[in-house]
Amino acid sequence: MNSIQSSSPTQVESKNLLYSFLLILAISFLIWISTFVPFWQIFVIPCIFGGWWFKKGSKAFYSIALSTILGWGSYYLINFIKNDSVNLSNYFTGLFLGNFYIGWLLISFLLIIGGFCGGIAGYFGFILHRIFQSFIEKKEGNSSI
Amino acid sequence: MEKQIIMQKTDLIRGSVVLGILALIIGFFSVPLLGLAPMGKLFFPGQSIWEIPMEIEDTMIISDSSLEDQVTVYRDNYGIPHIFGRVENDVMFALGYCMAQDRLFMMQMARSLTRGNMSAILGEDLLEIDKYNLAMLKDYYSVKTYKALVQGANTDPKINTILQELERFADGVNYYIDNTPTLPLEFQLLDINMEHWTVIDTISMGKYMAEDLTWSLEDLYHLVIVEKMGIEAYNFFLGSPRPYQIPVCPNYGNFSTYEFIHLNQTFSNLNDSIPLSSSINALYYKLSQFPQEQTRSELGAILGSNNWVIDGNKSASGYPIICNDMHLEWNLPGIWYQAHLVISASDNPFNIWGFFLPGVPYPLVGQNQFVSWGFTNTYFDSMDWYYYTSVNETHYIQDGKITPYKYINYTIDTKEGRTIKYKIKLTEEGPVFSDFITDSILDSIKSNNIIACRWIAHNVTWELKAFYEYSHAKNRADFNAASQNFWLPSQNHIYADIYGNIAIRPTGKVPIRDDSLLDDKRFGKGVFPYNGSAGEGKWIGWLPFAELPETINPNQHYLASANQIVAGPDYMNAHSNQTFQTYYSNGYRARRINQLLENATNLTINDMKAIQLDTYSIKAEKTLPILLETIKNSADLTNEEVQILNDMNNWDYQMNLARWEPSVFKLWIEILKEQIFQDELNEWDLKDFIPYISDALIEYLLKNSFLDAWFDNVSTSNTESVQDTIQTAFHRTVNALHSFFNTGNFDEWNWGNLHQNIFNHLTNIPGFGVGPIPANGSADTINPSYGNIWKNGHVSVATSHGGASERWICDWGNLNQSISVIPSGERGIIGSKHYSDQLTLFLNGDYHQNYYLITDFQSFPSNLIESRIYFKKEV
Repeated sequence: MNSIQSSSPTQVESKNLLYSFLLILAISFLIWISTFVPFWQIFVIPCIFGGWWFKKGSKAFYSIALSTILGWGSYYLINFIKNDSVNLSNYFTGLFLGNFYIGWLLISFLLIIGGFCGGIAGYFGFILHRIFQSFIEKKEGNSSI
Repeated sequence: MEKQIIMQKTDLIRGSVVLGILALIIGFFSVPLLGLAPMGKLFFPGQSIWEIPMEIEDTMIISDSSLEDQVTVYRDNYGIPHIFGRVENDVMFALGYCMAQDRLFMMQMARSLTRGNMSAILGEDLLEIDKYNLAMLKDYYSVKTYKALVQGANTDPKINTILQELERFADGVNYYIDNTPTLPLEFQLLDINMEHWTVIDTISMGKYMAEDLTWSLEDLYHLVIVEKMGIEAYNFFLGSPRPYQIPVCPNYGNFSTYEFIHLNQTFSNLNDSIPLSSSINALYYKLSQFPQEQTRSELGAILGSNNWVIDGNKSASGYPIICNDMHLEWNLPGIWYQAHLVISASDNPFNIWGFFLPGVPYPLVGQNQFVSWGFTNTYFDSMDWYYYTSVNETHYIQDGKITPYKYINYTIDTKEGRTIKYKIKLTEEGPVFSDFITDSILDSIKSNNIIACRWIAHNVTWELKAFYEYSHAKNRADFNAASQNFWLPSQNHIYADIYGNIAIRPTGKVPIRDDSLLDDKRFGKGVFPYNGSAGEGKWIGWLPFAELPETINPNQHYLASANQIVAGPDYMNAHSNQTFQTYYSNGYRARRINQLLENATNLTINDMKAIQLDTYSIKAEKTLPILLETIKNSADLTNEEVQILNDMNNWDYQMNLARWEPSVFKLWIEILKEQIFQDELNEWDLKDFIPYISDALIEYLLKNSFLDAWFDNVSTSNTESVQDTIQTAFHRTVNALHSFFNTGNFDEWNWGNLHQNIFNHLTNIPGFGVGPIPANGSADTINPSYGNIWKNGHVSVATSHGGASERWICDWGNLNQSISVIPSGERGIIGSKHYSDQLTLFLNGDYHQNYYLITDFQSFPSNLIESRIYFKKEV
């Protein structure tokens, strides 16, 4: 688990290079696919990268979930202000719940779903990092033998 | 090392599980559910529905090289555009843009339905509906009308102007489509696009209205019922004139109440002259089950309207006041779009205000600075059905000769990507509809007989020219000239002008049928299907415009129409060979309007409001006292019933939602009607005929003892008297209300609990509509809402889906006070503050100002301006 701390400066350097390379690759990939994949589907990829840097799974989950809620919340807020679309949420709760025109319930639900997705993606990033790390360590171990 | 491997394995499992959950959630929100677009796409960030602008930007500047001059659009506090420009073509562009901002989805739906294009946007489930619509030839004749317009533009400068304006209007709509980043909610929900608007789409709106108001299977049904009930009973129920009609045009005499039962009494044996009738019956019943026809028959009852006008002798202002409320299906957004066009051309300025059909750049009803006009449906019989002997798949018998069918070929592109070929089969009269019946039992009938129709809309028609000319008329002569181009759907044109003239004329093309092959005494002439194989009933011309009934500046100083009979006996006798209306209203609304106007003077806009909102039941006034009188001394009444009868005497006949008397009266009449007629109808096997029986007949029966036999129940051995029948109906009414409300305290039997209005969204998606809301009124009050409360032996809530689709009052003595309201809002954007703001006004009986006299944008009060669009010529 503490392989980064125990690694030599050159190792850290090369790892950072690798991370940067992957990051650039990922962002290019995102830009490429975002022409036909909706934003809300590709947002999990940055969440995975976000989760990558956490040392505790639960922290990865909560932090990324919270970030997503903040991000999505800002999106809703900006659009509600810009487009007056808060009324629309009332109509949808009316549709789903039958004559209950309480839009904040729908927005809360959307934020919970978004937060959950983001959190899970963050946790997945954390796990991915761990797998990646142990894979590297295993390789290092192998090469030292 | 081992620990590390275990951890690695655990992580791999965890990672897979987490990834699985993530994929599941994303997958769930990425697939279309319940026929709607994926939920994630709709609600989650990234081009979601939250990016749809609910309101119009405060200030917009639109530059386009196609504009000749500047146009300024100010939207008022109800979002209604006031469009100011020097060049009419530019004003049309701006109007197209504004309508697209507000009503794009409605325009898309109306044209797709009319032009048979639904399966292209919503999928192959709607293929049959497309075929049915195409077979009505609405698209075919829209295209033909367009071609005639293009051809006419070469020789006729006015047609050239109209064509250019229609093109500029379409340009305005398309400018919006091309420059809007997000389409309205409905497009996103259904995951559909908006193709460019065309002039043909605008033309097709005329056919859309024609279908709404004139298409019917009525002639086929007439044959079904006359065969079962016999010609005498048919004449009693549906013969013309019907009782208590006050004609639209008052200058052709009045009908005496007895006349109706004695007219047209001698007929030859109908069964001899229509040998194929039994198979027509079978085909009729199948055709009437087609979804489109079922919807039409459900909505049929709500189509009506009121309009009236008073001259300077009756108004306080000394000038005419004109009023109109057209009754149509209620939807959100509503059918009408209000707009104000100010064309300040130096040679020919016009100030036009009116109710527009979205997709049409001229008002159907409204005013300019010289004339004003309103509509009610006339119900001229402008459709006939023909039956033919079939020879084989490709030939039939026409005029006794074996004749090949003609064909119109269509290809229908579906959303699923298929291209389906569709061939419409035509006889000499029109499209064949019997092919829509897919039923093996009927195959043998179909192989021998086919049914086709001829309809007024099966022509190149010029109503768009009429609308252009109405809004540019300067006097009655101009208006009359315009009316000659008004083909469909026939309407009672009420008229008032700045010179103080008032007038009314039922207007529209009335076909002349060649009935020379029919026996003189044969009842029919457009009322029943014709034998096409014998060459009967060909359309050989149109009733000359000058022969349509008309009244100008009558001595009574007012005119009123509410879908009643068009003219009195002098006119009808002079045109006894002509069929005008096979259907018209029971006349209660017309009677009430006449009652309110005949002795009134010094009338103001407020009095007119009160009439439009009137929910007084003249039916109750005329029938309830007779009912009460008949049973008041009966010994068989319970204490509760005596109390109800006594209290009913004090009722003011207002169909007030907070009162119990309307509930008792309405149910009593409905049950009485069932008791009077159900026994005979059962014997005739015509259980579904009850809704077609006019309530005015009940009044007639109650007032004329020679018809008392109808009160006897023919299925019992006893002879029931009038009193027995009325009393039984009363017992049943009280018991039914008692059990429905679960209380004997009749003070709690509020009409509003039984009678409610609903305003659904166009797609009928629940949650986007308004209601149900308890409502005053009934089908027979001037302010109407519909529905019966006695269904299958039980009381149930009547929910009205239609009523006044607009209200408009225009006082020529004070045009700045002209007011209007629609039961929806200007913007069809769900969530906009103008989505249903006028509905709130409407339900409260309020109106808004039209700001008609503001004729330049500089003088528009800034506190009334909600948004501004400046259209500028791009240099």
